[in-house]
Amino acid sequence: MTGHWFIDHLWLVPLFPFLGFLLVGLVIRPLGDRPSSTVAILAMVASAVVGWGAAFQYFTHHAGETLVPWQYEWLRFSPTLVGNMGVLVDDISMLLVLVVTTISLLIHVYSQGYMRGDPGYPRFFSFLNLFTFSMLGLVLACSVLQMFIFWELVGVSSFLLIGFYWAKPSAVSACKKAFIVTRFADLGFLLGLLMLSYYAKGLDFTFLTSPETVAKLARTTLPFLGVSALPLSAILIFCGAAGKSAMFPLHIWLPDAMEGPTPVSALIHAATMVVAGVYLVARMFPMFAASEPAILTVMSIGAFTALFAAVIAVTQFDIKRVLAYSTLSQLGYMMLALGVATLDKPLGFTASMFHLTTHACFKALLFLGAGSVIHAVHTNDMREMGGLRRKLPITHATFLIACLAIAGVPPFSGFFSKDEILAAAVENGHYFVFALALGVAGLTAFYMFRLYFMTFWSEPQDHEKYHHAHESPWSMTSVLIVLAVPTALLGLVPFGHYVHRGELEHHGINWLIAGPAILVGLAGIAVAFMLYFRPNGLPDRIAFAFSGIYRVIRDKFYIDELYLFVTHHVIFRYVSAPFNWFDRHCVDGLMDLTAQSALLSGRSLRRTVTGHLQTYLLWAWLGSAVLALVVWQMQAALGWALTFVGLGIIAGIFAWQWVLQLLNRSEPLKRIEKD
Amino acid sequence: MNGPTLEHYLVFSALLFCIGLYGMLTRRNLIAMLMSVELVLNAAALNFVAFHHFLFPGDSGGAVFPIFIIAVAAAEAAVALAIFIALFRHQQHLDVQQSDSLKG
Amino acid sequence: MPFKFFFYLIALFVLYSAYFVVTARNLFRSAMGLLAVLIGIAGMYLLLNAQFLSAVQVVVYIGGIVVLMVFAILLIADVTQKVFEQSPRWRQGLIGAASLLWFSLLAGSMLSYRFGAAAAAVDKSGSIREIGRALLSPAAGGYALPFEVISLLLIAALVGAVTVARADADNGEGKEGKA
Repeated sequence: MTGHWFIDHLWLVPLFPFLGFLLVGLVIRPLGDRPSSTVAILAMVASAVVGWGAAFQYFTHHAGETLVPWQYEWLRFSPTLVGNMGVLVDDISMLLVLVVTTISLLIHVYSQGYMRGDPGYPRFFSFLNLFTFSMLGLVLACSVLQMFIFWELVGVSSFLLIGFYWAKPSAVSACKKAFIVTRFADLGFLLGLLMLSYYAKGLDFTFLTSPETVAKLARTTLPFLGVSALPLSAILIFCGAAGKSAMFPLHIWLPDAMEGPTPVSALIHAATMVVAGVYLVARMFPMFAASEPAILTVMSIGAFTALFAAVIAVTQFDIKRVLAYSTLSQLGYMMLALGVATLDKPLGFTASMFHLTTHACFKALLFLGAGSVIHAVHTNDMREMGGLRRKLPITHATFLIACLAIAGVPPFSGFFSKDEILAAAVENGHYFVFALALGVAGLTAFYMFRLYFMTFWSEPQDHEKYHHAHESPWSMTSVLIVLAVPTALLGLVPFGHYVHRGELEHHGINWLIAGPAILVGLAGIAVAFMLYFRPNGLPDRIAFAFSGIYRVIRDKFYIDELYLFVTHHVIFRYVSAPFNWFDRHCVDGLMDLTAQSALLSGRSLRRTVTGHLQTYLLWAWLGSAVLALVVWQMQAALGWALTFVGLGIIAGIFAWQWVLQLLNRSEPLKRIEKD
Repeated sequence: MNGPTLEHYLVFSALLFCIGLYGMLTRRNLIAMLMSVELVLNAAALNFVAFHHFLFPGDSGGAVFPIFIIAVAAAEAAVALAIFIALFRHQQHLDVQQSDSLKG
Repeated sequence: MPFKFFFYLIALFVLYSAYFVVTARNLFRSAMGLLAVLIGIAGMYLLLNAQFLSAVQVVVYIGGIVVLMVFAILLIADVTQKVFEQSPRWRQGLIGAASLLWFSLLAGSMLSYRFGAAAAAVDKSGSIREIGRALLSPAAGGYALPFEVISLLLIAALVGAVTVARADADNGEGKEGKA
């Protein structure tokens, strides 16, 4: 208990959306669209009020402390190993609570307009509430176990929302893909969790991240491979984080997840859920920081994903896919920032969280803006847009702000967070990473303005669509305007003052680092301006000139095809097929055998049931004779003999059935039906 | 005394029992089967009395049990004959070797 | 000597009658055979000094059960003309042989077993007084409970017999009416 009402009642934050989910899903749904969305939004408002109040109290009264204001012992595995459910309050959890409640509330409001008239409208809002509940539970988790549970819940709600248009085959396969890929990655998380609970004998974050535990884990050597428990469990946990945050080898689900409604893409697949991986790594930061291999893995995978996704984004034409790859790239940025941080120089940690926050704002704004555009022209293809600035003035203005923010143009928020990441890379001596990040910043500016120019400037490509385009309803545009405010101004907040690990020496903007970043960003914008501001043949000619490379990039480096090849031609053929064969012929065979034997013994034994009274009498007589024999000559040998005769009969029936089966002459089920 | 011994009675009752058994398994009429059952029951009752008389004269069980057997036989005969009558009404004969409607 | 003689006489009589019971082709004659067997067994009881049992045998068995059977036979079958079918010869032979085997086993085991001598000098307890006491005494060695249970069984049998014989009456009449 801290004596501060909002912090003490922080468990209300996830509770409200959960109640909203239950109410909307079970009670209010039949009442129609309006009450459903109203209840869902009210739940979010209540949640946001408590969340903001708690964050305010935390940052004014308890800044820098780690509190557990409420905790419940859920599972006691052993005297030392206890699975707790509770609320963990520290700087990053409060930050995430702010981000999640705010963005989620805004997107609830936005969805009112965007989803209007959709037959699944109430369902959509109940799922949104479910997702928010899961995400807040994840953010506030006080133990790895609780986090894992909410982690999976988040996965499920993401699955439900990607597959929201379940009549569309592409949406169905996309949601399956997302679920299977992240679930596969979660296997790593689960293994890491088990390993931690085994070697550290505890599940609470406060316990796991304490220096003593980390040191103890680092000393523990695994019985196999001879490596220490710390890096291995950290990397396993990073597996789960990489799956959720769509890091390089596991990124394939995120672009496909854009099949969901656009508000879902904005909320789940840009602003909140996908940063859960970053959040997990940040949560476990002391563990990662203490182990060189783990932190290097985080850094390299983050850096590679940032570059890789940015390159792909340049060639895409689907507006949401460009944004999806951009999200991948920015997530890579955040991971990279975490990866360059150390316990001594933790600037990267702050930078990562900073970028997470600004990214949540501007990426949500971008997605919502894209949603507004899609709402207006009913297509995702940028080649069919163009010149929309006159039709969608508010969307255009807010979109421009977001583009400037992500491109890193001062004084918009993205500039500050990106600058901090670059500064962190330099501070810790990762010059190669710095150079790479700088390049990615240029690419980001280029593809974002390519998107911007193609959509809002240039010339209308599809005049019919252009003609019918109109500005979105007030409920949508107001959200865009609200989001534009933090997108523009969030960078001015002294972020390092609130969120940090260890002591940060406060520093201003280092223009030696910021200068090149700004230049690169402006260069990207300039190139995009030249190529896409007016319709011209230049982009096509460039694409033609580098057609080989272009095609590879446009097809996303054939990663999907690689996965398909591995699953279809390797796993299905060499793993699943033998298992299938084994299942069909051995497991099912055994079942068939049992059924057959029962049938056969029934068929033979029914002959003894003749319906003649005297037959039964005869059997009774024989039975009494056997009993008399047993009583008269009760010896072990006789008992064994009788046992063996009985077993022999059973074995004989089985053997006979086996022979029949080998000769393919048994079809028990059909015969049962016939009987 | 030079009277018959226990063994005489036992062998006699065994023979009676086997005749009853033979009758139960060969007679085709249900009433005839029932009569064979009575033979078997009498053989058993005679054994009780013989054992009582020769081995346990002080124990009244051997004398009481035949009474129970007779009572059970009476009950059995009453119910069985009622069933036979009902059955006869139903199928117009009492041939056990023709009645197999309970065949599995 | 006379006891042994009586024993053999009765035994022969009973066995012959029993053979008649299981082989007679006319059901009524079978019933008469049964009557003879029961009378013979009652005589055996007399030989075994169980006069009460003998009386019960005559009164209940012969007077009750056999008469009941005769009634049933007269009700069910046309005694005068019907010759009842018999089992096939192979079956009779097979079961006869099995019965003989069974008899030899029984007799052999009984004869080979050495029964101990009677606990001598104990009063004979086959008297009516003893039996009556035993039947009605609830203490250890008494048979009050089985006695009561038997009475219940008899009532149940009574009710059951009436019910079963009557249950089909309506239907049966209907059927006969149709036929």
